[in-house]
Amino acid sequence: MSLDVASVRFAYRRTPVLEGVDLRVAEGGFCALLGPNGSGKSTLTKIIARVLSPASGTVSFGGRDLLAAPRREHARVVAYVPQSGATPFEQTVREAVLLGRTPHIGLRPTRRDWETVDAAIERLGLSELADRPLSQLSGGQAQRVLIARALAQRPRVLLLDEPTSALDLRYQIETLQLVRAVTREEGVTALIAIHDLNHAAHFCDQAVLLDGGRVVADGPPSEAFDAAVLSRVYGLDVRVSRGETGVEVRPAALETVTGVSAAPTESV
Amino acid sequence: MRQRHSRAALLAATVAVALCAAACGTVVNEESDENDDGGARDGSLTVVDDAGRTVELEGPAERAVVLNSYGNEFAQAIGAGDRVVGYDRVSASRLPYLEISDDEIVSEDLQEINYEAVVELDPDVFILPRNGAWQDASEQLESFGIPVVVATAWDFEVFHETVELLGEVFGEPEGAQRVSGFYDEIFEVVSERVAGTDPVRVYWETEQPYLTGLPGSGFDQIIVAAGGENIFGDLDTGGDEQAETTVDPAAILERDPEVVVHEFGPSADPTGQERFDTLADELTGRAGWQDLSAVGDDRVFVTNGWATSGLSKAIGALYLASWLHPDAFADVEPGDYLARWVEDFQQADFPGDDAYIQRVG
Amino acid sequence: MKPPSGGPATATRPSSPEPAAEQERRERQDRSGSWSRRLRSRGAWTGRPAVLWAGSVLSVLVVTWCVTAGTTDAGLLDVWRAVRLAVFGGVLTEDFAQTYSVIINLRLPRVLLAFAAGAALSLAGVVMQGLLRNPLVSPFTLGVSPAAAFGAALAILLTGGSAGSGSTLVIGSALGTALGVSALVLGLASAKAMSAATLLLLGIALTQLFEAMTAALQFVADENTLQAIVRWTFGSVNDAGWNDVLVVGACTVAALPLLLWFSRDLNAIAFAGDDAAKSLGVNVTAVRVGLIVVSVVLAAVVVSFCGVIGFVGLVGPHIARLAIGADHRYLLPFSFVTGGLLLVVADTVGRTVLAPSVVPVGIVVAFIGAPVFINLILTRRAAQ
Repeated sequence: MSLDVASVRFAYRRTPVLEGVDLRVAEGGFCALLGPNGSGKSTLTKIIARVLSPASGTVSFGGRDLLAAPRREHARVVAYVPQSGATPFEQTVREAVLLGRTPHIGLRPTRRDWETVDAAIERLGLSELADRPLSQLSGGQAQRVLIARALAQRPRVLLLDEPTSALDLRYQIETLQLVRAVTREEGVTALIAIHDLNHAAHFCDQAVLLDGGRVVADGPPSEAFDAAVLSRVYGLDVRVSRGETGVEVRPAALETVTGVSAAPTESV
Repeated sequence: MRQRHSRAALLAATVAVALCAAACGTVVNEESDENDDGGARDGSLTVVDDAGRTVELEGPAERAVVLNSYGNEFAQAIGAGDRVVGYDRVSASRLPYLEISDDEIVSEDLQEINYEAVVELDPDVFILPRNGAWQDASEQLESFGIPVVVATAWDFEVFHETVELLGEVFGEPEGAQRVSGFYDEIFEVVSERVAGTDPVRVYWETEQPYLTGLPGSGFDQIIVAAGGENIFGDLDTGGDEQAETTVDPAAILERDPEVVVHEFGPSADPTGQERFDTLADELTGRAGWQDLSAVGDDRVFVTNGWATSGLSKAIGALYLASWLHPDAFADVEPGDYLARWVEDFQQADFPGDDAYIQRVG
Repeated sequence: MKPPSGGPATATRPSSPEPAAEQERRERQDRSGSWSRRLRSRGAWTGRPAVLWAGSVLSVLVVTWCVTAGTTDAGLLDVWRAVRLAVFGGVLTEDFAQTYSVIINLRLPRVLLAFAAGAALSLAGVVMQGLLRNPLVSPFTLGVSPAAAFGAALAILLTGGSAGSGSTLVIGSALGTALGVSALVLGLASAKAMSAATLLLLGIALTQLFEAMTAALQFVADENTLQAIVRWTFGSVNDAGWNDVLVVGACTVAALPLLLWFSRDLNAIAFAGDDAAKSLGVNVTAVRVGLIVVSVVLAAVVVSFCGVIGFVGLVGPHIARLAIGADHRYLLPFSFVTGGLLLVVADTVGRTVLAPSVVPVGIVVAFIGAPVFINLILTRRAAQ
């Protein structure tokens, strides 16, 4: 089984955003969607989450067409973590996570639903905050609530749209560790739109680099990160170093300032 | 949640059943020996009211609720004031001589009527003008057997009909005749004397600055009747007897009226001198008004609507005619007519016409 | 999942009524939390059905009490006697005839109409606020009330005042215009994918337009019609009849279960937003259009029968939200109660405070609602 995206095209009015994107993520894989601002990572995530409809192309999971399925059925397979979840109304953490059960519940949540909700809260380390209103949480805590909501959805595919951009370093790392653990332990397929190349390299099994609505690199991070390609895509001279801890990307400008590079460096 | 849904459904069902039941229960009135509470009434009476409705009354009204101050003036004038038991708040404030107490008031205006208070007063008839909520009133009072009669005493056009209608309702045909006769008498005096005179240009302002009567309005009609010419008489908007509009201040200067009248809201309370003075300053102080013929010739008048709109504006017509054609009316004292209206018809004390009408410059 | 006997009670818990275990767990987990928060949070979970029940019982009591209040003296016994007589039939004694008629034909319909109208506006307000994700929105945001007022004013003017404000013609004209304008707003908004911002802006534009048009009608109106038009612009239940109660009541009572059915989707849209709600399997556009139509029909029916009663649709939901939380499964039925109570109390105050004069309910409700609302906002801020 795998998540397959085939020749997906999308345009906002006349502006093309995705121009035929193909990618495959193996079941249980953790894939990073990389690329500069405007490269189409968020758009692709939203298309798979069915927030947006593509002009053409298909998305399927395990051979099943996700775009044609009824919304509720799709939502039982795919969960989506948006960038932020500001809400105009007061809600407790538990109520917010319960929203993840929306595609599963009928008129009222059952005991099982609540168990799932509490398990998700527990998993994100939010138990102490379970009855706090969202407005009293920090940005990092609020982000974890959104992830807990997605986990409560019990999805097979987890989509995250730049979940770490508003978090401090500790929460960034914790979030990525958590998503990786979910993929490892529960076989959930995860796709994360993310900016930090090094985090992607460290946590993800697969890196997909988007540029101008096309895939320009796809593969394990150590293979997909190519100094020449990255420099071109980001319009910034970067160096890629491969060491024992994995692949690492640094802007060349910083390299010359610090002037330190223990590992062999592949230059442009 | 499922329980809560069923609870909502249950609630809905209960309410529905209750509503149906309320509409369905058969209530039998206890038979009584007498068919009505009065017993000694003169028998049935049928009138056609101002809305064209045919209304059955059990007889001349002995207890009536009358809304609108002009309606109450008429009821008082025909000699039926003692049979009015309920009023609106505006009548109470405009007509203090009727000594209306708070428990006789059934509404603030002509729309939001306290039907319970009406029922409490146990009237034989409920009378209100056609701009009141008479449709609602007749529905609400139907189950209490209180008939609603529409009589529009403020309307210049239907003066005779209204007085006659009230005369029928209260069983006071002679009183109604007297009031109608007084009205006709005044208009005879006016038309006799203005015949053959040249029209004088008049600007008649009501309540609000620059609000004036248009052709078709009662004010326009008394201007014409008094031998005047409404300076806005050419603005024919096809309006009816209430047609009023706010005019461009500059248009008044252009049309240069020879006589200006400002009538403010009616109140039988003698108007304080301060109000006349304030209005005089306000009027003559308006930009460009110093050059108006009316101001130059000292022919600006301020009046209390209770006097000049009294008796369906007949009194106003007489005063206006005397101002427009002072020579022709040299031997007529309009104040005498006002005194008769106040003392003989309204049974109120007359403090002199200076208390209601003044030449202010 | 951990077996119940093993780890902390957390793994197998809640919604099952285990207050002791729950409290114990909380105290273990929330050692750092303050007492007040713990009390409040527990209240939020276990107290909501109780709050709902208390609200329903209170409504019945208040409605009954309001029927006894008024110019004519009538006690609870009289009310009971009159209602029993009306429901089961019987012989109406002469000395009771007037009280009976006052209760059955004047008071009961007006109290029930006020309750139904308040409940309907409050329900519609909850739905609009949730769907547009904006707590400042009311059922009239899309221009329902000025449109209805314009329709009513036009009918009153064209008939020269011979059609009273309660006539079928005026009600029909108001309803038709309100629904027509709402359809127009929705139609125009569909060109912009029904976004909340577009709906709000179109609503504001049409509100301004129709207010101006109604003002223009008032300007050309004469003595015969002006008062009826003006009266329309502040709502009143003074002329309530059983037919009004039936129509408004039936719409309101039918709307509640319908809206409850969609409370799950409403929660997703209101709390998670359009994008996340779509990813949660909600057909956002269809739900939004459908529920807005329900809300607009409710508001239009109320406005057509009672005139423009503002504020309830804004304040009713807020009072309910502060009392029972924002979860629509509880919020919808409770706002039904708060809106109904608010209007019934306002109307009772209106007909007793200056008795025998009657102050239109639309005016009173603003006088009562505004301070209540301000107080709720301020105390809520202080608590945080």
